[in-house]
This record gives sequence, C-alpha cells and structure tokens, in this order.
Amino acid sequence: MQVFKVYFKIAKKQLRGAVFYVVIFGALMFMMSMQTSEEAGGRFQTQALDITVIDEDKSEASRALTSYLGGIHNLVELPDTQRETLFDNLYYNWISYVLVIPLGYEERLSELDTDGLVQSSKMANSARGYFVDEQIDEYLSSVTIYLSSGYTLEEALGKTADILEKGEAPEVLQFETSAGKSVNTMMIYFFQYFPYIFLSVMIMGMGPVLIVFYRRELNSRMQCSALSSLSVNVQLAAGCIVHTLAFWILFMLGALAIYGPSDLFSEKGLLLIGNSLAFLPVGTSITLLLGTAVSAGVRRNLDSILNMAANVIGLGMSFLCGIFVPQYLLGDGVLKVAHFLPAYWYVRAGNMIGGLSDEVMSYTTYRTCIGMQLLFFAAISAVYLAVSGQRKYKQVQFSGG
Amino acid sequence: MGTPIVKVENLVKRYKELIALDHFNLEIEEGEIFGLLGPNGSGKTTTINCILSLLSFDKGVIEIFGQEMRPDSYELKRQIGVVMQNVAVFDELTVRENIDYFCGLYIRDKRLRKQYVEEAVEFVKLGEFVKFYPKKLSGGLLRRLNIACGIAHKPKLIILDEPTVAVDPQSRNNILEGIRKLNEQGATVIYTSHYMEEVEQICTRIAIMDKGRNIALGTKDELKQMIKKSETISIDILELKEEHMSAVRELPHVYDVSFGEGKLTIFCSGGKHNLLRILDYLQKQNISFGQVHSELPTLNDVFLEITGKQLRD
Repeated sequence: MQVFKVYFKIAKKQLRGAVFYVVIFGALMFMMSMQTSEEAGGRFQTQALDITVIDEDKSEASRALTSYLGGIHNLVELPDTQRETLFDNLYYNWISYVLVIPLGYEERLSELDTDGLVQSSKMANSARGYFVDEQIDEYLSSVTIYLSSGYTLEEALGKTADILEKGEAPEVLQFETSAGKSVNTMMIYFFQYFPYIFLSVMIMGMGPVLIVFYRRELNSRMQCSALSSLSVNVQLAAGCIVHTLAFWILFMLGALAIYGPSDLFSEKGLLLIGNSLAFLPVGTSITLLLGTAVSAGVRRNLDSILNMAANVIGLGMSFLCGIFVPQYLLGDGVLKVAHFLPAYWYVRAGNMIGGLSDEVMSYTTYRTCIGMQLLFFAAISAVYLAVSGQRKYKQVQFSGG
Repeated sequence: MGTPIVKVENLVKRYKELIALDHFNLEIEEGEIFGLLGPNGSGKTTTINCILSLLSFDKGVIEIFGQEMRPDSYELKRQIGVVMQNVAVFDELTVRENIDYFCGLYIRDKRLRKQYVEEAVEFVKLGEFVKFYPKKLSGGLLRRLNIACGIAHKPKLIILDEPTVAVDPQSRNNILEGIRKLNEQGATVIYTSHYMEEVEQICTRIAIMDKGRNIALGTKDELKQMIKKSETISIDILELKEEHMSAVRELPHVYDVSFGEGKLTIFCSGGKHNLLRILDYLQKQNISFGQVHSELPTLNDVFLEITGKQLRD
C-alpha cells in the first residue's frame, strides 16, 4: 500500500489549499443558495397592480382565475371593454394589465389544452406585465398538474387556490404530486452548486497529487520496480476514490448541519444525494484526465495551469450548464452545447427534483440524467486511458540518450 | 565464464528513421562494474531503458539472470536497482520517507525495510538530513538521495545512468567510492557515463558506444592496446632543426613527431623506455630542453582513433 499511503501524504500537503477552497466556496454556495431561494419564494408577491379581467367564459374556472388574480392585484372594472378604451387605460398607466378569458376557457382547461388559453394586453416590454404573465402561467400549470394527476376540475381549482394562497411555489406542488413531501428550497440550490465546488476542489486538491505521480522520472522509477503497474494504478485509483468520497461526505455533512436530517433524508433529498453521487465519478475522471494531460504536455508552472484549468472548467461548466444562471434563462444555442457537458444533466435532474424548471418530476428522466452522467464518466475515462497510454509511450520515447 | 547476469543480443531500436540501437550486443558477468561509455546520443540510455523494459525494441533478446526480461518480469525487477540520470524523488516527502517509499516497492516486510532504509541512509551519509525535504538539499546530496532510493533494497544488479551529471567533484568522488563499495558487497553494476575519467576509474570492463553500436569492448588496458598510440611525449624546446626531427622520428616505437610553438610532440606506439631514449638523444645532441610530459592514452584516444571524433563532441 506504499502508493496509497504516499498519495495521502502528498494530498495532505495540498490540504491547506483545498480547505481554503472548501471554506470560501462553501460559504459562497450557502449564501447564494439563500439568496436564490429567497428570490424564488417571493418574487411575484411584493407588488399589487391595477389589472382588468374580461371574463367572456363566465365559468367556474374563469371565476377561480379571476379570484386568484384578485387576491394578488387590484381588479379594476372599466365602463366599456372596447379595444381603444383598454389601450388608452394602458397607455396612461391607469391600469397595468388586461386579461381576456375567452369563451371555452373551462372546456379547454379541462382538456389540458393551455396553449393560448388566455389573452393579455400590457405595455410593450413591461416588466410588471411579464410578472403577471408568469403568475397566470404558474396558476394554469398548477391546475393542469392536478388535473393530470386525476383530480376533478373543482378539486384542482380548490387545491391550486389553497397552495398558491399559502405562497408555496408551484414547483413544490409539482413535486408533491409525484414524489412526496416538500423540502427546503435552499437545499436544492445548495446541491445545484455542487458540481462547481466539487470540480474546483478536486482539480486543485487531487490534480497536484496525480501530477506528482505522473512525473516522468518518478513514473519511470516505479515502472522499474517490483510493483506491477496494475497495483500502482489500483492504489492510485483507491486514493482518488477515498479522496473523492471524503470530500463528498464533507459536503453531505455540511448539508446535514445546515438543513437537518428531515430535509436531507427526505425522498427529494435522497434523490439529490443520488444525483450528486452520480456526478462524483464524472468529476474524478475529469480530474484524472486533466492531471494526465497537463503532466504530459507541461513541465513548468503546473500549479498555475491547474488553477487556471479549475477556473475554466469549473466556471465554464457552471455558466454553460445552468449552475449560476438558471437553465430557463439560457439561450437555445447554449443549452444545445450544454447537452454535451455532464453538469447539464446534473443540473437538469436537480431542477426537476426541486421543481426549478417546467419539467415534471419523472423517475425515467431522473434515471436518464444519472445515466448520461455515467456515460460521460465512461467516455472521459476512455479518453483518460488513451491519453495515459500515449503519455507512457512518449515518456520512454523521449528519454533516449 | 558462467552465465552472464545481463545478456543483450542483436538489439535493434528504431525511432522512425533514426536507428538508436543497431544490432547491439552485450554480456555482463557477475561481480563486474561494467561501463557503458559514449557521447550524448550514442544510445546508452536507450540501451538501459530497453534492459529495464521501459522501452520496447524492434529486434533482439534481453536476458537478465538467465531469464528473458519483460515488462511484467517483476521477480527479475525485484533484484534490480535503478538510479536514473534525472533525480527521481518526491519533493513532498522527506529524505527518509523517500527512501522508505522506494524500498517499499520491493520489500514488504516492515522491519526488514526499516533496517534497509537505515543502512541506505548510512551508506550515502545522509544521516543528518533524514528529515529534510529534497528541495532543501544541495545538488550533491540530492544525487546521493537518488542513489539511496535506487539501492536501498539491496539489489544484485544496479544500473546507474549518468549518476554524476552536474555534481561537484567532492560529491562525485563520494558517489564513485559508494559504487565501488556496492560492488565489493556483491552487486554487479552497470554504469553509463560520457565522462571517460569516471569510467576508467571504477569500471572493470567497458563498452564504448557510438551511433547505437558497440564499437569497442574490454578492460581499459585492452581497449588502449587496440589503438596505435600508447604514449604521447611533449618536451619544451626553444629551437629544433629538421635533421633532429628526422632523427627522433627514426627512434624505436616513434610513429609521428611534430614541432611548433616551442614544443616537440612525439607519438609512440607501445614499447618501453621511450622517454629515456628520447631524452638521451637530446642530451647527446646538446639540445637544451625544459618541461617534459608523458601521457598514456585515454579512452578518449581510443574513441578518437576508432571514430575520428572526440567523446565529448
């Protein structure tokens, strides 16, 4: 176990840097998760607008929607609903938003046909109008989820009204319909930042250790020894696994300390834990590949290069895959590119579990996301083995005297 | 002669168009300090890498202790110690930890390993520095640590690839002395260098390499006998007539004479009392002379005569 023991002796030397990263990023992660969850919880409830609802359907469903909006905003009745009158009111800012609930609204809602179900008018580029749109979408999406779960229209309307009145986000509602009890939203965001901190800490903590072992001279000396290459690699791999798991356990202990066992070990919490576990081999294989590639191609300033790589990979993946910027705000092009990055699937699963996206919780999708991460692990590992073989070949080829 | 400890037969190694080893042959007997001498790029390190299975080769056979050497010949590797040209130690481990680590790659028994580590520390005289990290060591001490890491497990065959590169004279002498001691303790040594003085100083047999080929093989005396020149005599003389030059040229064993800038240089091939005969002639002719130097041939002369170039070209 010489290699295994020395792995940790060297890792210990890198501990200060790794702890620095963990503390700084851990604190940032916690603060960002608090910030984001607060935003998510109260984003549409701070301002009541003057809005007009024109109910042409006059059904139970349309009245429920009107009532819901009336609970948030001030409903303004206009003497006439002519197009010009409406526009004048909007133009002079006497009202901020006009909602038209057309005839057949209830029928289409019952059939879960929500495309263009209601029409709205607001001033162009009005942020406040956009928020009302969001609230209506939120309401309709909640009702349709209840309906699709087998509730009657009356029940769906009632439950939606209840849950939105309590101020709970519809994403919680989505999850509740299929995966049990809701948990602290902050924890979901906490887990969302995991790939970033994990990649950064692993590249900065494990990378330098691997580079030491991959040093040409040391590697040659070990190849000359009575210890088989297999044994060296197995011991190195064991070191990496223990290193990775130690960090993961630390992360979990952090989550446990902050959010408590009831949240962490809830069904949703366990799914998040599973998701983070699936990301471990991906992050480890990226670090292995990076360590090999850097040690093969560079002889000086390895630490600076690793630092740079940690930032480029950690930050790059975080921005492209929706860790720092929610996926729904990313452009289609970016998302298409992100599909080819493992963190995308991690974030997608996290979003779905936490209801941070429109995607309804589904175990099939969850398994797909986990599977995709494992596929990335397999692919990166294959590249690692190829680079590793090439490095070994080069090493001896250029050592000739 | 018994079974050679190392046997290399018709070894060929190519790097694309470049032939690094060209049907190279070698046999090393137990108890030898065998020197591989050659200029940079002559194929010494390539030979060593092939012997250690660090490098695949195109053709040939390598046997160590009578068995074919392969990358997975771990039992053979257990009996080999390697000291690489470049220092190969962990900067993150202390002197003792480094020796213990590399010894541990061969010796599993903890108590035995501890004993071997202490002996290796003692051997390279690093007792005062066991808790030092390599970065705190001078170049010479670092080289000694490098050697300790290669020999701590008491191998029967020790391969040292230019272990004295960039080392101060005192450390170099320590290293050479250490190699001699290891040999006295029973280890067979393969020593590569492009410093002919070192090879002459410690090696019992020497192979001179050039362009991947073994161009001469034997003891240092055998090698020197291979060449025409056996002694170079230089004498400071103010003036010398052509007739005297011709007379000196006619003396027994003299095969070439030159005179320039007040120095007469006489090249002799073998024979005894060459210097006496020349000085006797000069005295008889009343030719006054100053300083006299007599140089025996070096391995560089051997290399020069065989290849037409200097060892350190």
